[in-house]
Amino acid sequence: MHEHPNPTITEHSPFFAPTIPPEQQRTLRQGERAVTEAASREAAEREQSYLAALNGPPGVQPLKLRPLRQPLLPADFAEQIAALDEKIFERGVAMSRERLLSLGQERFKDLLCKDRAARSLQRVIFTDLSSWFSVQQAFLAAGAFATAVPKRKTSEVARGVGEDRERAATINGFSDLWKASQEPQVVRDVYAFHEAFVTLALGQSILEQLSRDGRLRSRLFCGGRIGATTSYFRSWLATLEGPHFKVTVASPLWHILAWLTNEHTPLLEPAEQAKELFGVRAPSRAQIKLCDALMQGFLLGLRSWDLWNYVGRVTRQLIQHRDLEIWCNDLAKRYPAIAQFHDVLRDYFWQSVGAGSVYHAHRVFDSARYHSYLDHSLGRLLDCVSAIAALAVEGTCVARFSDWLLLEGKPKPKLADTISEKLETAFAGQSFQVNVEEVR
Amino acid sequence: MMKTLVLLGHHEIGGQQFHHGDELPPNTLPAETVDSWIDRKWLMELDSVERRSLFRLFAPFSRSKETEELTEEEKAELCLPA
Repeated sequence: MHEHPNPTITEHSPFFAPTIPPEQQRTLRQGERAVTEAASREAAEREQSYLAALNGPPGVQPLKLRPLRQPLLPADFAEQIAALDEKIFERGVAMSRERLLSLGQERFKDLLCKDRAARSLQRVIFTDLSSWFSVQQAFLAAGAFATAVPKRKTSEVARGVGEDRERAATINGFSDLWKASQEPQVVRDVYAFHEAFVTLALGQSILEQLSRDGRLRSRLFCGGRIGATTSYFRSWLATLEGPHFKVTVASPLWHILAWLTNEHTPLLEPAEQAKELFGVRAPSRAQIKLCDALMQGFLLGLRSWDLWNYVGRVTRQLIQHRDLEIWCNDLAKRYPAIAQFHDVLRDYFWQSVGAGSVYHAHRVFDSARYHSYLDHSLGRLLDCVSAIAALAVEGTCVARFSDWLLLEGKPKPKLADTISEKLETAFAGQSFQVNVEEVR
Repeated sequence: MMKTLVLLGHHEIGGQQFHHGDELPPNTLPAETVDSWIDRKWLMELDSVERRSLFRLFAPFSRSKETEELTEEEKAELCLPA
């Protein structure tokens, strides 16, 4: 008889998972999700705390700006100035219509010559030299609109630096054309034409607004105005009727800053500064102008590419940015109180941005607000200087600008001393230099 | 629309020398002559939008009888405030 072997019984694991009821499955999934969420939350909180620790306390309160030192003025100073400005407006400036016409005709011929000169080189083909749009198109067509300012790199954009350089590189009007470095002679010719055009436009508006009594009444002559129009008005002083003289307060901005900051180092004249800066014994007019603009920019708290832009606009010279930085640092060492004043003031204009987002929260310097504040505050103090000087010579003042006055008649003896004394009373500790000069 | 006349090449009109690209003062030449000069390519006519006439813009100083206004922006920037 054959014996049958015992059957081998193998127990296989089931091919399919054991069937779990759907309700139990849902409970399990919910449990897993809750665990994952808790772990994720914990990790996020840990990272947030880490970033917060790196970035400092969130939402730093901005520093509260204290008002600047104010000059010693009489209580009714504002009323006195308003009354004086009204008198200046009513009095008007005596100008000769014949001389205006004669000088205007002469300058018109000069304008045509400058128009011809600008077109003669034909490196850039112009259509209408008086219109910025047309001039811009001509430069673009000739491929001469590029600036020498290095472009902002992608890495700089990502880091949020180089905005001032990008701003400085833009050419937005005649005042920026000096940056187009490829055709310097054409740029000089366009500027010569533009200056003549602007001067003539002002002369024509003077002629149109001149009253029958031969006096010109305009708000330009009130309120201690500052700007290009006031400087172009100087070129029409030859058309004044009768004797006039000018009163100029030398370097008013410097005196205000020195008074505000208790700066004791005396001001170095631009000519002396140019000798030091360029290592020459007889600096050129352009070098002196550059030093003057550099000093003004430093006093206005401009740095880096903003300073480059300012100095370039005033002098129409392309200066090496690195040189300007070195010169500016030299000025900061020479006038430490003024440099410190700007450094401290800048601290008030840092603001927090991206609050609430741990990835974007940081602080940036609000350059626009800083310069706006400084321009406004210094502008008011400059107006005070002009107003005090005008009040000292009230009877004969016919025009009051930011840094000079126009007066009718002959200057009285010791007039400069009287104005200096008044200014020194208001701005205690500062000695102002006042120049009186007859207009010819 | 006003037209600005620009000379092409060098010319002498009434004893006055004009260079290439100079503006011809308004009413210097009779209309027929202007047409003939344009046909001969001695003169180019541009719209005042394209090139403004300096003679018309500064009529009191150029003694031109025709006038042209500065733009409002230019008036605000360059002229005396009222």
